Amino acid sequence: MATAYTRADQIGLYLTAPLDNADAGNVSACLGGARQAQQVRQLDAMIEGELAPIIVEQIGGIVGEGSAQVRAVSTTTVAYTAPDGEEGTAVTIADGGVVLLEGETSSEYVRIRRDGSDLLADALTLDVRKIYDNLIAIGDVSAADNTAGIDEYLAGMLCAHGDAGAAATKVYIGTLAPQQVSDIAQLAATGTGTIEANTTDAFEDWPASGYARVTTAGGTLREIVYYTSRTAQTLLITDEAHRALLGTSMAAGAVDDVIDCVPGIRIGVEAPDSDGFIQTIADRETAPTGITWSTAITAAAGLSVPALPTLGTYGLWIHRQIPPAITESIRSENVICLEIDGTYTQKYYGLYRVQSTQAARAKVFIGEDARPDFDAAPEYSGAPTFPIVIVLTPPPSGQKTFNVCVRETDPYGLEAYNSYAHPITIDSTGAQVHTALTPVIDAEFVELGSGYVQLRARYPLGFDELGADYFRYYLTTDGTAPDPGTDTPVDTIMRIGGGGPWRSLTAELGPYDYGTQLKAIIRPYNSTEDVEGDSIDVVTHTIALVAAPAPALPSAGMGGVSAYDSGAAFPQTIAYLNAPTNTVYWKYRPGTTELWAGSQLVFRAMASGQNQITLHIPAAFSLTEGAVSGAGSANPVEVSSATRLYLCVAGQRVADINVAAFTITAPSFDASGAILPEDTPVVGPSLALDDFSCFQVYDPAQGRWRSFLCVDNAGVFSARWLAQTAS
Amino acid sequence: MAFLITEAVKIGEGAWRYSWSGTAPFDIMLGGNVVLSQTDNTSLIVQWQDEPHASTIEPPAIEGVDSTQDRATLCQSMLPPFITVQFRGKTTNAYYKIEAYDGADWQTITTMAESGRGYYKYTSPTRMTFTYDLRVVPYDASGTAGTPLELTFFHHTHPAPRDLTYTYDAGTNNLTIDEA
Repeated sequence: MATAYTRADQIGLYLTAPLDNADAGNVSACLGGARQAQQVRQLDAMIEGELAPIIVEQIGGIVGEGSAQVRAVSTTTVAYTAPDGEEGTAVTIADGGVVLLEGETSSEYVRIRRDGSDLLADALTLDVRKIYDNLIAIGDVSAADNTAGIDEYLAGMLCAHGDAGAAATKVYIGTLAPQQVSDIAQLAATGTGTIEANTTDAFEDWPASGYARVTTAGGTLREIVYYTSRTAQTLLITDEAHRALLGTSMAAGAVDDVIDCVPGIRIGVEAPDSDGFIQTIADRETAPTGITWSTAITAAAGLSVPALPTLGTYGLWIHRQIPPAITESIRSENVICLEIDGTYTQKYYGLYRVQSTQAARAKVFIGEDARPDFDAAPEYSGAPTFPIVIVLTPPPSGQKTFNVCVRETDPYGLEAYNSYAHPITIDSTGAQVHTALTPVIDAEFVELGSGYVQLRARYPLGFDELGADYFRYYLTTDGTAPDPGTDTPVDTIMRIGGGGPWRSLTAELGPYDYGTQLKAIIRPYNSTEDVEGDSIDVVTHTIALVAAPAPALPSAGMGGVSAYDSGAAFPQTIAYLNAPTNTVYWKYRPGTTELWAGSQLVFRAMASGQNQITLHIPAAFSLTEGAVSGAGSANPVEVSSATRLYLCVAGQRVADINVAAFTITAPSFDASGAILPEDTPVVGPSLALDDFSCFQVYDPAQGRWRSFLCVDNAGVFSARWLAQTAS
Repeated sequence: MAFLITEAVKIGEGAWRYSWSGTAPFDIMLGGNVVLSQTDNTSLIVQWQDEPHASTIEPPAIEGVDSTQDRATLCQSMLPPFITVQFRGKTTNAYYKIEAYDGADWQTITTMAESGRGYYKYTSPTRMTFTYDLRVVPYDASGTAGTPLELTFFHHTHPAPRDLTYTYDAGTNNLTIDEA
């Protein structure tokens, strides 16, 4: 069984703090002094899965980030698989126990604790990650500190936290990318310049910006510099202030110099006093005294920490140097390595961010008749201060669409990844050409009955940069196709509503005679720019109604009675009596019922609203008493011809209406209304009973149909109030 | 052939369609999550509600990789637009409250029951790019609060597109891009 706090885990790095520091336990308080209880984690992990009693305390960092696993091999044993490694030996762990699990090698390890007696089963998957802003990182760099440059110092404390103490340890700086050799170009003794490697892809795996440690081929440190950018083969040192860093001096480079990618830190160790304390600095910008700094990148050249007794400590100072005006970064990295007893390795990582005011940019990408190329240089790149004005060059001929996308970059250099481009089309004169408005969809006529139709269409929102605010339609009723070039359009404003991503047209048209052929072209229209769609699609409909729909009666609403609105009870309705010719018809609406023969009104009944119902017959008609006989129709009105009508009762003609001669003949006329039924339960302008035929009008005051004329089987033409009027 | 967005068009109010090319299958990310995994589809309709920060002017941005690319290289994969709090539970607790500090008070975001599973995670639902104070407060069965675990995050992710207007002046040929 691997014992916790032994082997690679025999020594740990802990936070420090002055004894009286209230912020003890935080990285910001690591100004030296005494060791704190918090151990610095080499790595951390997001943990998935369930292995309930197991707590992950420390992950050995030699392999770096990746997916690791702690697996229950049995109900009492667990094993560890480091990132990209093989599973190590299973170890028994008891409730309350702490064990060290090693992976494929002894430096790939995890220290775990068991907190619970539940039998072990299943596994924990560890998404192992490096940590931001820990002791190793020092902390994020603000834009102001970046502009001026800043040197910062923090201290940790190495501690032999195992029962057996810790063997001698070497401490050194970890490198960040493969070592390269300078070849074609080197830095001069002073000034800016480049370092060019001997292979074309030498620096491909290096960070986009960072620190380079230059040593001679013989291994002597020459200089540490900061490169602001690089190509695959060349490091660019663009500021002399970026040279001679971390205690080095400017020196001319040479062919065969060895170039290492290093963090911007150096380290020093300090033996504690008899109380276990190291010096305390006033603040993180104050350098500790008496420290011999090292930028060594190998254990052999690293700082030596002697073997320590149990709970013995040794100070470790970290100095991070940020020269003025370095490149922004969302992920800069420091690494410090420990080699213990010449055998085991620990690797501590810390990530930090660097702000730069110069990094905040707005980039305008424009694709001409194509999508923008985000890999190409932007059309504009500058401070994100709006408005931004760009001159568009009109095409020599025809039209050109400029697809414009703005991506912003923040002070850390992170660029937005939006890719939607806004189109602007201009012609050769420089005039903007609005993209044709998207045609309407679902255009149709819907027959409402009685010769009325509804013209419907939908305009989808959001397609058009310009957008429409009106429906515009061209309508013909003679069977010819509308001609938007000559016909007069009808504009209907698009109203908000409906809840969907469109606007709807519902134009009520009519009445039209049976067989009328309607044709319409419907387009979206922008009234501001006077732009309309260019669709020439014709929607066609032929009036085919032969019966009127039942009117909708006003009704009580839930919890109360609706106020009556005569316009809302039912629309004006046409009920033809001689389909398919459709020249004789009832026309009725709340308060009025009319009988028409062609263009001639035969009679009109009106409900006045004061409980009066009046039958008006045009003065042109003469009322003649006389016998009327013969078989008629079951319908109360028989249409013998376009100008000859009979009122019928039970299939027998009882009154004769000659529209051509303007005569109404019936055995007798009675204006007393004696035989009028007061009320009927039937809706509509006419009602056939066994002994009567009644003619009705809807009385909006009473909310019901009432008789205005009744003809009985003896031919008595009876109305409550009968009047003859001019029309 | 790597993943490439070939078309991004508005197809309705607050709705856009992305189309792409590459070597199938594809993984498509939106809002820090994989919305299409190992798909052969080459288009996706997004709506502004698909990402809380997005607007009706600019669509939620998507990213994708094809079979020749690594999903981990995507911006949303490297720096997702949300934070995740992980904490270790104890079976003697009954539940935990995740609270956020609004500058004056701690506001409860969610409550998680202790289930004996060991590690617990809370993932924030919204895009955040600022310092954020959260705490996990344990409670026992009687409702008594224990010592909170307080955490301060500085979360940073790729910037969201800004709502802009694009106005062209035919007289000057100037395209003016301004904040909406």
